[in-house]
Amino acid sequence: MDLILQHLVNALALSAVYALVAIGISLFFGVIGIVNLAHGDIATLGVFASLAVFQFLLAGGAMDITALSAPAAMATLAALAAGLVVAALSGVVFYRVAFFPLRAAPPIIGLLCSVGVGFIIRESILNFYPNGRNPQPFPAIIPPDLIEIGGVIIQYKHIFVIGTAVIVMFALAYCVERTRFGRAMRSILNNREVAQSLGVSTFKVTVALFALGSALAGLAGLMNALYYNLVQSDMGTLLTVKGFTAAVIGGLGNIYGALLGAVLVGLIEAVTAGFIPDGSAYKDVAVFGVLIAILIARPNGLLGRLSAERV
Amino acid sequence: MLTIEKFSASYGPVHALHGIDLRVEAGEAVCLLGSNGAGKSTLIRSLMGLGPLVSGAAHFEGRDLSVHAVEDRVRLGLAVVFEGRGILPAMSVHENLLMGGYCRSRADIAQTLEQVVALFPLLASRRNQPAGTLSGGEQQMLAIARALMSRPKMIMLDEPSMGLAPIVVEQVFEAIAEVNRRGVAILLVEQNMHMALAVAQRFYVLDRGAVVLAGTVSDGVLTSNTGQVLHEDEIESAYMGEKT
Amino acid sequence: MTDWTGRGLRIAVVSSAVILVAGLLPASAQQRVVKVAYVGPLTGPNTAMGIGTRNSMDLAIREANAANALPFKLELISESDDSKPSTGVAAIQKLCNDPDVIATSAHWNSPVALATIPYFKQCNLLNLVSGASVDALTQQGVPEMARVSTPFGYLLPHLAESLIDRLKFKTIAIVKSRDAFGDAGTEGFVPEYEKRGGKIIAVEGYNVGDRDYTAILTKIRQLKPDAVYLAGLTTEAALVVRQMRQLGMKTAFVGHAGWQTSTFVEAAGPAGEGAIVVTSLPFLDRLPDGPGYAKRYAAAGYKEPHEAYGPFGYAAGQVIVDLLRRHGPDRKAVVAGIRQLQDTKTIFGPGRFDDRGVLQPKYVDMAVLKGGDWVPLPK
Repeated sequence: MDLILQHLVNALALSAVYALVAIGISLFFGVIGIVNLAHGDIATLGVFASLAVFQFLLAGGAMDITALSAPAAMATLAALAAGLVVAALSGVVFYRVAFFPLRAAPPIIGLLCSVGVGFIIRESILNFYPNGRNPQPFPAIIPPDLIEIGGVIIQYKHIFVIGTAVIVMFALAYCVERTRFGRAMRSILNNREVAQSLGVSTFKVTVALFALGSALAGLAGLMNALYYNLVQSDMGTLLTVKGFTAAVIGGLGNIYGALLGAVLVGLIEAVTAGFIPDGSAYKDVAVFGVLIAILIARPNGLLGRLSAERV
Repeated sequence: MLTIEKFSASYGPVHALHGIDLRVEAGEAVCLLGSNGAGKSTLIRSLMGLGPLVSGAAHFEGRDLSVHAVEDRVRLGLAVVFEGRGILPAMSVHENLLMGGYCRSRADIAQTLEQVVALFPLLASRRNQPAGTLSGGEQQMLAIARALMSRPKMIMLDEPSMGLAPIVVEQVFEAIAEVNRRGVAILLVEQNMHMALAVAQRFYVLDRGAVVLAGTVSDGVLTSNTGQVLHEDEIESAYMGEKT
Repeated sequence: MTDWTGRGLRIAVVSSAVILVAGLLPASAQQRVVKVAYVGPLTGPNTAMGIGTRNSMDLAIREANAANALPFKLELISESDDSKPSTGVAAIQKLCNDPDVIATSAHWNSPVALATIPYFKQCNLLNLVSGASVDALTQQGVPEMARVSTPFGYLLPHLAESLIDRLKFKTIAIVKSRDAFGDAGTEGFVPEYEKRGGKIIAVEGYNVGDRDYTAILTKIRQLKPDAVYLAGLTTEAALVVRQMRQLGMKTAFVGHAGWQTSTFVEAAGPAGEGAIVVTSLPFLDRLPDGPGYAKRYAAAGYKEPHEAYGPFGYAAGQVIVDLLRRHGPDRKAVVAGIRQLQDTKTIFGPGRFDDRGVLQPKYVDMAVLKGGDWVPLPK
């Protein structure tokens, strides 16, 4: 029983990160009709921006970043904020430079374009970030302590990652359901032309959405970095794949679908890796098996309602 | 208020509209009659900036519409009720109404909302229901109510009677007439000539993308611009007759 | 008409003569340049290793040129295989088609090295491996394949023996990458370990690029092995050991030279302390020419460190120079010569190649990560 709970805790920490990536992929698709395969790489950009700030502030080794002090807290905040801002900005630039000019082109062109952007980001970090070719340690800000409850180990990191994700989800749900921006975005998902006729600027909303979605991806990247304390130039590829899978399982264009999909992907991975001998190697197979099964039963995903002609 | 001169639109090589001259004065209700494919919907979509390539001029209150992006035309005071109603199905009735006031201030929205709900009391009881679950007539009422939320000077309606039961059509047209009585100009595109003429003060007949007949309606008497008194059958034959 | 033919003929004869003379002239007029190639991960995740090895090989060749050891000048060219078999194959095909390239030292990653064997065979080009550890490279009877680096066949029995006899680890859980490298690291180890009475209580595979190992580690934690053996490369090794410690596992972490890198030290941080590996990477101060090599490398002005595999790259350069000295710049003669080389001198001291093309003797030892450095495991 405690083993099952332990795997559940592990799975939720994974799901939390996947969900933040999946939401962006899902909403971008809903609004521009393109799957953004560079989304995880945008997260990597944020992570490396954050790492750069850390490395700059910690250069010389005068400051202990794990200490409970005001300078350490400021440095941490500055670094994390830099990560979010860089991710958001690069998402916006990416949209304006790559997707926007292609808005009249077939979606496959936009998809290929995003693959290219992903390459550019990964190779740029690899070649231009100092020591970017090697995996680099990311400061361990969260204490490595853990709590053991009846055999189940809960790390502070678990609490941080899952807690952050839950708070962000609620804030996001509020934003989507209750604010003017959220309504404008949903009106575009419902009917683009009607939304425009009511005064919604699809360009402005899309730009805002790319800023928001990319910041969430940046947050996912930072959570990933703080969880594993190791970052590398291609860490975003995994995020893209998992986020995309979660978004498709849940139904593209639906944030609750993305959330549900992410929880499912995390659980399937944990169950496959945790309970099947040598299952870790096959967890991706299991996830994609479930994905295919769901798409056969519900082509628009679990909560999807977008009509098939959009895909 | 709305002046359209030599207005043409084409889908590639296919001319949907050619050389339309049309005008709607402030507070006036004008209907645009014509058979399927006559170009009526194309005209409305082009006026909203969603239609195909345009030549000629369309001015709203003296301002050239062509320089305004789609999303800015509502700010000029131009609202539209699309063919097939164009509600936002996954959003609630209340949210649809809020979206109608998207360009207005929060206080303004609250005030307008009160007036609109007073006009369509039914919508109050359906406030939190997804708009897609309303009946066809209710959706049409919602679409009109939503258009009112922007406090428009003119509303363009595209086939509001489409797919509705006769009794519901009457309610819808009563609502349109009421909106017009409150001073909002109406440009009504309709196939249901009888109902449309009951609301309108003037009419145009469109056939194959061109205006073939225009005139006024007063107490049920139809007079063409050439001074001829017309019967409804004659208007019908103006577009139905030539079709064959 | 007749006149035209006559003129055409004259032009043809004259131009042929010009071409002939032009073709002969350079051969006699300029000194021939012979090319030697390094192919390895100069891009991608293992770049540091590739560059350190390439530089070291370059050092050996520069020294040979400076000493006029050969009647011609040697030039080192390099290609990146990006740690990917497909890129590696393309690079080798390119070298095959360059007749000036006489010998090669190629690939740090075993899957890449396995993929290019047929191409070396096809064009009679020597691949004197300086990195990849999989035994199969030199066990397929391909005369073009030889190695200065140490294959698993020498390492893994020593690892099994040390775990049982020296460290008394009787039960072990294996975490391996699902590729030729992970397979070789497992298959070469398991029989040796079981033969000595050890018990394998779990084998868990992962896909290269995975970041989360908590599920399999949670499972392994329940089994309480004496040690976790990681048959894989640096990034995954660092992630696994970090996550083990985060889960509160104090189990020993053991492996082989595949992740005995400075990057592991940095990436694993404090969690890596105490990790134990079987190593073929000599501690330089124990090698006859180790300190001298380190000094000359530093003096040569390379921007990047020579990294762990540098000595092997240097040895590969030395052996290739020796082969060219004995057999001249001829691919077939060089290939034929490698297994006859019984008295060559490298950074490792005097050595010979066995009939499989493996440089002897091999240096095998146990190392432990202590205070951020790989040091010999105390006896």
